[in-house]
Amino acid sequence: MRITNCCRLIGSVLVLGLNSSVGMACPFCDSLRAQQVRAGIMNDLTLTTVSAIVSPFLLATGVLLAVHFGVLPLRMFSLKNWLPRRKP
Amino acid sequence: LVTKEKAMIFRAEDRPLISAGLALGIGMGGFVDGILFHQILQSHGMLSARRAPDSVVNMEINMFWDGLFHVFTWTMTAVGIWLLFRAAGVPQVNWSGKILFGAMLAGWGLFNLLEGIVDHHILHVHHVIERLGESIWDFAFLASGLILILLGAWMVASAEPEPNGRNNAPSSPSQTPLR
Repeated sequence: MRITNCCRLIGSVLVLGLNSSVGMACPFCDSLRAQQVRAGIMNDLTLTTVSAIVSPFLLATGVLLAVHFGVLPLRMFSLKNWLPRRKP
Repeated sequence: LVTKEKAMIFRAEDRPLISAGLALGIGMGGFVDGILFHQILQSHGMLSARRAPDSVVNMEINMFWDGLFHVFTWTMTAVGIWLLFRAAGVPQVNWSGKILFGAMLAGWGLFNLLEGIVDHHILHVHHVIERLGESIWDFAFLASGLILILLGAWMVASAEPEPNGRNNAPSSPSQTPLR
């Protein structure tokens, strides 16, 4: 892969920015605060939080798939189905 | 008259646009929650009921989980764009703005409803206005989801093929409208 000068410049800025940011706050760095943040992320609450983030999207994707493959009866919301029908 | 078959499922020619709109609505609804409530109003964070954002460390922890949440909203939006692009390539699709925007509203409502039930009422990781705890606003959030779903589903169900839609487009290439 060809690494251009532009890529080098962006990489340098990123490295410089991460290491010189106030308190080195990124959770992947090695400062004391970063260690505290990591400890706050990876603990007995992690599974609950991941479930809280992922499950609404998983459930919504389930509904989306049901609609896409035509098994969800949402067309019943049409007003036409609730209005009295004329006799022929 | 609406036959029973038509009343029970979406029309096949509507479904590609509905699923694209739903995915876009879920993703963009997630962005509304994340951008408006988590970032601009800062009324709650992803984990604010368990880790109150009262210190820099706790704010960073909330920010990390907010970021992961935005990964999913971004992915859902990208899926919606892909589905819309695919639908645009199928001539049989009923190309109706009412269907697309109705499905987007329903997707937004679906997101609010599911996120509200799971995060606010089952797992209790955060509430709409965190300083109030579980409050009327959490139920208003659920109600907004239901209203958006009903409104969106009604828009989709009441949409007719558009007179200038692709199904009725003129056959001459010189008259074909731009998409």
